[in-house]
Amino acid sequence: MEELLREFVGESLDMIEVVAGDLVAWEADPHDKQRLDAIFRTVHTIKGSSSFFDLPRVTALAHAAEELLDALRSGHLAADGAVVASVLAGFDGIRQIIGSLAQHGVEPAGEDGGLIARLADTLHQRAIAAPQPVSTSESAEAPRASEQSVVPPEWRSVRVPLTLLDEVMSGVSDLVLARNEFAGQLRGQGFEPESIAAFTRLSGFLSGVRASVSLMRMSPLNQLFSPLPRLVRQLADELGKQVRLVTDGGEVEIDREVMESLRDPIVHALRNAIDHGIEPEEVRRAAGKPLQAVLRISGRQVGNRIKIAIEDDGAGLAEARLMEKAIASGHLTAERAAKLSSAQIAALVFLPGLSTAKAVSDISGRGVGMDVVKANIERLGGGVRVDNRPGRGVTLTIDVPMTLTIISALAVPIAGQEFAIPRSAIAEVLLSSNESVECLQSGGVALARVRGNLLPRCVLENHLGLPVEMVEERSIVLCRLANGRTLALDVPDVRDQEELVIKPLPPLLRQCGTYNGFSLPDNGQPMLVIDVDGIASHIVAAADGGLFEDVQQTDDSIASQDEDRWLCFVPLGIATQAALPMHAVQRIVDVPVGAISRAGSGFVATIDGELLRIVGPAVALPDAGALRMVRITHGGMSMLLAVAEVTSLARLDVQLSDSHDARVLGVAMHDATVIEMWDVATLFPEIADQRTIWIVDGDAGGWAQQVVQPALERAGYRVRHAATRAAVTDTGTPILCINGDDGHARLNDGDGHGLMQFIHELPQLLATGAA
Amino acid sequence: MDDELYLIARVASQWLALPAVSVEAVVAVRDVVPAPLAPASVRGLVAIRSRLLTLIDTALVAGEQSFGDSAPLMAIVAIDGHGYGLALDEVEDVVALPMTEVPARLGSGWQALASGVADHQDGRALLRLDPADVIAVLNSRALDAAA
Repeated sequence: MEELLREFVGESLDMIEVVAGDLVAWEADPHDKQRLDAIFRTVHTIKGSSSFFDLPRVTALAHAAEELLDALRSGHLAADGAVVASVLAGFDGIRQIIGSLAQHGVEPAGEDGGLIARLADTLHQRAIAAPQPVSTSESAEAPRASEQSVVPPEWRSVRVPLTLLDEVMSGVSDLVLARNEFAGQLRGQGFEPESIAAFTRLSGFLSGVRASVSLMRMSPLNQLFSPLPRLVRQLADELGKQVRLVTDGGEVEIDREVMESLRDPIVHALRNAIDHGIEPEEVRRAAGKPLQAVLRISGRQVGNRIKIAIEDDGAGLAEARLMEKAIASGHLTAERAAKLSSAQIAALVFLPGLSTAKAVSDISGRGVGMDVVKANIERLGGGVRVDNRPGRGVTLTIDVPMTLTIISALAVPIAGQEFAIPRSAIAEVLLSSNESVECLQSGGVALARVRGNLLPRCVLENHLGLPVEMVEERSIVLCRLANGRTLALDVPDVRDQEELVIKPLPPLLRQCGTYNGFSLPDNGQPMLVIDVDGIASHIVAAADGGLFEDVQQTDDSIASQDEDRWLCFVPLGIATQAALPMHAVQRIVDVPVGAISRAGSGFVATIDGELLRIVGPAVALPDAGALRMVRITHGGMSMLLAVAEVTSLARLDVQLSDSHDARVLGVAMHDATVIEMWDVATLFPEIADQRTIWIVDGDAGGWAQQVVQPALERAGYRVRHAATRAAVTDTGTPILCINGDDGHARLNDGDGHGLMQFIHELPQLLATGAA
Repeated sequence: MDDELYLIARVASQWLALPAVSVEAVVAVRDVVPAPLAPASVRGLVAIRSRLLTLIDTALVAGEQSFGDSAPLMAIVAIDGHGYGLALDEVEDVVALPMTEVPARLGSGWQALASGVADHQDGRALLRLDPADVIAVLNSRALDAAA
């Protein structure tokens, strides 16, 4: 609030100054109705803001002045010197109060009856004698005395239009260009050392000025956060909820323009959280949560991006309802819905017109918004994601560039010109000779295999329609896309480039979907900024079948990330194909036979000094050469799986489930081949044994299956079912009894709080040994 | 229409009158950097002082033989906050001219671009070319192409 108040003080003092001047100018030319309108609007603004900050004296004075101005506007009052003088006196009064507010931080006590009466008298009597001394008010006399020093120095600031800053910025760029030209001449003509030294100093100052100009656009996030506590309090009161707002990271600086465009999305997210996320008190009490909900908003800087997280401890998103709505509105088919992961379900809130609110409320309306919020943030070159913790709350993470105008970028030289790739989009740059990269072509699509992950690859010259540069070694730039995927951009070379001042593209250039800005670097040669997401969408449109059928799903709100993709392979010594979820696959490695040794009943391999267990091979080891292995990871552990070959990366749908083999989740068909979908956890005996829980429940398909099992699985446990205690086939595994007491833990039907408690205590139960 | 000041310029064989208020300057075209994948009418990018301009092949927009890489001059204009250079073959004077409606349907692409015609003393009929119309026509074509 302090930040805002400070802004109000600065702005109002300026405004009063301006309208006072305008009023005098208008007096000279009373036919200038527009000017009078402008004065009226300004005073109205001051009145509005002052009432927002609860400054009754300012509000009252502004109101009186506004009424008089309105009468002038409507022609009910003829302008004369006396009228203008009273309005000016009113302005002086306002200025005096605000000046004192600036000094002391609070509106000074006092009474402006005299001034207000004078304004009102002017209005009613249409004329009044020369300014009367106002006896009761301290403010009437003070202006003259303290006019010069109302604002203490540390509060001093100047508001400058962004366009002016941009002008300064481009002026500085001009200077840099001229300096470079000058430097060239200095070198050519062999100047005196003194001239060179003077030039170097000049050059240093110029860099300093350039840095300061860039900083002028930045403001701390606090300016965005400071009005929020009041907003939250007001909303919570209206809805009869108790909410505490915690803000964090307000000191992080961000471009003013970006900050402005974050204001609405954040307010929207907070409204949503308070209205829909945070439960009514009786529900919170029943769930054993503290009655006062905590809403946390935090900002932090990651590289040249700002991440803002809005986290509540409410009920979380109702997954089932979200899916119902998405199906009802035709965004999703029931078959597809059944296969969505939690993260994918949560992402459904970004679909147009979806809201989980049962009742429409005036606070957050009816589901208007999250799609708009997402679109607005993406327009800034940002992204937004939602993490749902059913029963425990929602976190919305907004990720935007720190500034729109200056980015750090790498330059790619092609055909005598340079293109820029924003650093923020780059995950990694690898040389094509690096052994962890393999460039390949499959099904007419360029691909790159990077540490076992197959990625779409784009040869930049091909995309741009330019001849491919002949270089010994190319660079593979791994770009992070807005939808979480990775694109391998294959370029002839990359050069380091400093900060670039980015200018918006004209529509003609924006249209081609390949660039998102241009820039004039120090060498004076225009540079186009590559839009990696734009290029990726071209590639996806061009890809036809093959390995990347999943990439074609451009609807990234539903489109899966790694968890939906499966790596298909033929295990060594086994005839059928198998598949593992991609998120469990770390990379594909060729392990020399020499690094493999027998240990106990199986094999281990030493890779880079790390000892890893090998699943398989089910055949004798060859004498020499290497075995291809898939390195998989689960629950913080890694191991190797020997394979005869890796066949494809695909989205698989379970077509048959298999309950006999614990290792097989299901069977899928892909390219007319039967593929077993393996459960990663079963490959890790340590985990498979430790993290299995039996649920004993006579009521098959009831609460246990619909609620308890998914909750446990989401927490990373394997669940097995038994109708009775006697049907449990193994020992040493925790048993959860529904409505019964013969297990290690008991849950009553429908006891959500108990379920959360159980999941919370499970690690302890597993550690102490259930048996 | 009132007599307004116009810059007399030539594109291909066509003489034009560009409203002088909309033209910031006329400069020689140098150091054009291509913009791959941009519509054909975009010749590339040019930096004039610290300003980035998109160079428009005016002849191509009007359906005439393209300038190719040989546009000698360009008129600097600003439309919707973006800077453009309109390629020109030749410029003459800035003069006040009376404008009249275009009397007949014009050939090639000029129909969509010309917003009037002026009878010059020396007998030439000059087409009034508003730079904003050139950009508007281009943008709508690019949109059509995208759709």
